[in-house]
Amino acid sequence: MKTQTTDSSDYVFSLDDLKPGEEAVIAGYQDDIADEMRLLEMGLIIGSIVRLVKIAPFGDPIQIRVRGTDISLRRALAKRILTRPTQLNHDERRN
Amino acid sequence: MSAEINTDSSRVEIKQRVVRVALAGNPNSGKTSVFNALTGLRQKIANYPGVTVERKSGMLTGPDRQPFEIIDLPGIYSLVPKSLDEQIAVDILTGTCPVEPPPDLVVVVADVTNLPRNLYLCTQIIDIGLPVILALNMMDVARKKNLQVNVEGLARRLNIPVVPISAKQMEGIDELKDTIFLHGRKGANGRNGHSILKSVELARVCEPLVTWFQEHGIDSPSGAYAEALRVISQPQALERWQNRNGREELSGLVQKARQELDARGIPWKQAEVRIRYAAIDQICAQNITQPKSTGSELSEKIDRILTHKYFGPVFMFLILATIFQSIYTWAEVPMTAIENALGALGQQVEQLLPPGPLQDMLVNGVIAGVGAVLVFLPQIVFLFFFLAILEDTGYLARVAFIMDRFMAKIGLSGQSVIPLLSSFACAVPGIMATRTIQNQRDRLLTILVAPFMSCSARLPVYTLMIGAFIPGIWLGGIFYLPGLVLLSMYLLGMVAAVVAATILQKFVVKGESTSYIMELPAYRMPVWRFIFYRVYEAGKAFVTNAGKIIMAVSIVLWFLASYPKPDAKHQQDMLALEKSGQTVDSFHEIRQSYAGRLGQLIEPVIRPLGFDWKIGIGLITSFAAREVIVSTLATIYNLQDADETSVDLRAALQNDRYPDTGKPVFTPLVAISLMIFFVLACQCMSTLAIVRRETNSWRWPVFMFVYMLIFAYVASFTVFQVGTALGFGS
Repeated sequence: MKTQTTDSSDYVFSLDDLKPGEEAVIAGYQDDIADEMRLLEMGLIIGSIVRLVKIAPFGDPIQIRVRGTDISLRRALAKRILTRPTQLNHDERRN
Repeated sequence: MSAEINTDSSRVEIKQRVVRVALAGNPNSGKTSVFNALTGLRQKIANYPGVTVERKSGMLTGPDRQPFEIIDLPGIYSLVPKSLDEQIAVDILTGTCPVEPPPDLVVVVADVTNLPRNLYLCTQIIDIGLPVILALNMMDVARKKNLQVNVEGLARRLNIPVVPISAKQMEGIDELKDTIFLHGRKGANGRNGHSILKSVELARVCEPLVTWFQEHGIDSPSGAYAEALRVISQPQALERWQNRNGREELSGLVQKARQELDARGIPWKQAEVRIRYAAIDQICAQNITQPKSTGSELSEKIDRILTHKYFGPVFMFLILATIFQSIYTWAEVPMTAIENALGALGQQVEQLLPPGPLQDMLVNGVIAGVGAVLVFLPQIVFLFFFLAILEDTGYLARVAFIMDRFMAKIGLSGQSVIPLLSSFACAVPGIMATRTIQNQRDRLLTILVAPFMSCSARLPVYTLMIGAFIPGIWLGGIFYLPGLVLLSMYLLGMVAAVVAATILQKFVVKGESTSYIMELPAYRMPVWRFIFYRVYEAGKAFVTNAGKIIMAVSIVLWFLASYPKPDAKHQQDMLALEKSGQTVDSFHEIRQSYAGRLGQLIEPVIRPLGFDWKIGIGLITSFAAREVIVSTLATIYNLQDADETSVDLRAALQNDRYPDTGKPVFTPLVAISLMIFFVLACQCMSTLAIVRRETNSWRWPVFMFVYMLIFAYVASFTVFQVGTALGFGS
């Protein structure tokens, strides 16, 4: 899953695929997301770094951190948010 | 809105114009704390006409006694509304609200620790062309985090006054007031604010739209440009213009702009967000120095326990169990005290006034009605005290986070958990607690199913019926039948809520399905002053709004049960009958009251459920409060001071026979049918009164009463008829 490809921008997976503690970069949205605008306004724009903080005790929803804010959303929605790996997974300045 | 009147008679009264100041900001920006800090207890809470959205406002007196009205708008993330309360806020700011003109001044409250997202809204409001003040809230938290903000730099760049404050610590509030006083009086001349959208890449694409908006009522070029970007990016924003003139022309222009963006490889949905955030990120980089994060924050550490996979649910259970336990036990003390005090007052009145209709009405109508209102106050106070703490500390959002999984299954979100749990104590505070639900559809749905939770007022009915008719046997040596029946009644209520929620969202409360995107705010210490305001507000709203209705209905019910009085001749006839040794209809007095007549009137309807006319009277009087059926039955059977555990009352019920057939009126099947009816029917004027208050219309309480009555009737009918057919009828 987390194999680093040479051209990371081509390697896209969904936000739901992250494990707790992992970070990724927002790459886009699947076409038919009703809440795309709300997410955009909350700062989940292309290029924002997003971290999966944790998964709720019963497996859904998830808690993510974007621009210093913690947001919880359901996995069904997270599946439609596309992300790609951060270029420097370890040296990245954390929010 | 009249200005404050000068009471000093020596001066000439000058009616001053009220300056209207709107507080706008993201949810969780501390906007309500700022509102509380500015206005204290001088708040007025009403609803916007025709909707469930609360309008909170308070008065401030400025220099020269100039009155300022502070209006706390619902929290918004942007000027494109996603829900009804956001719609109201946006309509007011953009001047498209039919019932409220745009404010003279907007104070944007921003969480300084989360400035980029807060500036997103702030810059949008600047672009409308309204005078803006930016209040940087939570400066105390910023200091602790070593976050430094160049306040002057921000003010220069945006060209608006920027006031650093901490509403929690009452820090900078006087400066904020002075700034409001200074800028609020300038009116339209006070327009300030530099648009951050100037000279950006997309200006050319938007030009035709900018021209169109300037021809259609948006004067300021920056406002027209911002609106152009918005209608390109957001279909909802375009819809707001759809019912005006020239919309086809507008749609055409928008289509063309979107195509041009597509050609340049820019997703049109992101046009506004991208431009704005690009500018904001630049501003923040220049004016905020953020220390490198030193590992995980305090909130994250707390969450390691409180939302831990195993400990999280355990702690949640313990916390909620403690809270609800104390609502039951602590509230019991003042509730008993209130009942005793009103009982004593009633006795005083009985002694002071001669017996008669006036005394009777005061004691059994008015004082009983006051009691019916006041008896809820302790529970409301306790629940709102805890609820305010849970919400202000940030834990309420965690409860929603943990429980959302289950609530999602019935089309609600985790935010409905607390109101539904509270309803087990009493639906009245439970329904008031739905104010914490942000999504209006979820809120209405939660209100409509909350009364299915078995509240404490149903317990006396269950106790009486189970005690009298359910044999105390052990099933398989493990389950005690009465306990099992009691549990079934609670479970039945929950199942009914799930069924009702499923049906209602298909046919009645349609709207958008729940979009659960919720912020998990950092943990904070609660401010006791603000918690006190919340409790006070909740208590006041209940007494002044729902209280009036409860009071009125109490008096009507008293009248129905007491009138008409049997006339003298009737009394004599009965006495004569008794003397001559004949059997007397012991129910004659209640039988000929209006309530008794109503009971007999509805008897044909309730007979298929197994109820006779005396139970019918109980159904009518228990509308005042469910447990009233117990005292009504006691009155009917001529028992003094009987309660649900009274042996006499149980015996009276067990021995009652139908005069024509000689069969018992009450059987275990009738008792179960009656309990089921009480689980499902909305037999509670206080619940209906609070629903009226919270939804601001009679439509929902009437709907609730009818649909729950149908549920109850169908369920009791089925159980009694099937039970009788299977031979359980005797």
